[in-house]
Amino acid sequence: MQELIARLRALLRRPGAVLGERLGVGNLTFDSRTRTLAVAGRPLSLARRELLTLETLMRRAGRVVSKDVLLDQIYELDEQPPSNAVPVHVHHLRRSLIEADGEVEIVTFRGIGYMLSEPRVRRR
Amino acid sequence: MIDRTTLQFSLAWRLILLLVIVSIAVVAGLWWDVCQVSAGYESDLAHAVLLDFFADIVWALPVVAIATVAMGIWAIRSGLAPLRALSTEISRVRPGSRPACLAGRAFPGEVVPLVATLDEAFARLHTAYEAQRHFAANAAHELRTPLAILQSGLERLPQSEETRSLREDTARLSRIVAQLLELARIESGPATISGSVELKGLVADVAAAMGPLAYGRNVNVGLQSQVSAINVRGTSGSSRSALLFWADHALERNQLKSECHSGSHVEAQIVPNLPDRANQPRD
Repeated sequence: MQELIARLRALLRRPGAVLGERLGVGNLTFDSRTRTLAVAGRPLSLARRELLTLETLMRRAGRVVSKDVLLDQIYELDEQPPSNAVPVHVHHLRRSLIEADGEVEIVTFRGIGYMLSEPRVRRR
Repeated sequence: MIDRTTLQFSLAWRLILLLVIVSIAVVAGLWWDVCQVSAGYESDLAHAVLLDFFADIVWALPVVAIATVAMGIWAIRSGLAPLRALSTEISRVRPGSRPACLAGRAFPGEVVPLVATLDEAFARLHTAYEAQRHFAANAAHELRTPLAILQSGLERLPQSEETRSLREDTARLSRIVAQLLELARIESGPATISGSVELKGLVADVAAAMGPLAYGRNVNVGLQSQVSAINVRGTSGSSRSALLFWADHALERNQLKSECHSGSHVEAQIVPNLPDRANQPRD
């Protein structure tokens, strides 16, 4: 039963593998079938958990994703994530995207979650 | 502590005053009679008989006085009991609810006109409240279709800064209309609440929903709480709608500058003020 649940969770985590989905936010594109990320057409390699974090945020771009949802997507059932796991992955992800000139912003909502958004001129 | 304004106090001191005067008059009268009889007969036996008779009457006076005062207080208390029940019932009246017909109860005849007037006043208030609520709901319903047509027309226009700004404005109008409808729905809900809601999770959910809008307006939204859960009385749907309404209203009025702290004061302070806030003119 546990294996079945784990497989179902894996499928839910990577629906693109079934649907063949291509995600795009700003100048980022993510192919969920091949699990490759490109920034402005240039491939960018990320650690597995950072890629999972980015994929989760890209699937819900423009919406706030809670820390619990991110933890659920990044870690398996039997894994015990450290308390600061999500902020650390987001920090590394931000740094990687800045270095690769990614035109996206990961917004932090303290105590609530994170949101991936295209940088835009905010209105007052 | 004795309340000097009560009917009981008023009646008791008047009765006591009356009884003291009557007692003094009776004792004085009897004493006069005893003196007259004693003087007429010049007999020790007659004097003793009259003194016995006098003693038999005098002891009964304070007893009668106490019994009279007690009876008066009991009569007032039992007579006013329906008014206390009426007061409790009226204290439970909330916006949108009204007590059942009060005049049909067993009230003392003296207060029946007052109760009938209260009934009429509640009926008028209820009618006015319903009219206001229906107006808000009807206005919101009437505005939805033209707004949807407007939004659809804007979607067909070429992309430009002006059309983007117009779309944001119509989206804002749509949210206001949706809030009006939601407010009317909340106000028409049950007046009595029996369930419980976990407020911290609800606030986090609402803050997450409002996050993108707040971000677009340079407003930081966060949740800071020292406790793991806050359970309050309420219904989940109505509480969520009320919090959404409040957060959106605060964003519109640029009142939500930095952080929204979760805590029991959120439910206690903000939700009861919703109708007032809704009636405030927007900038």
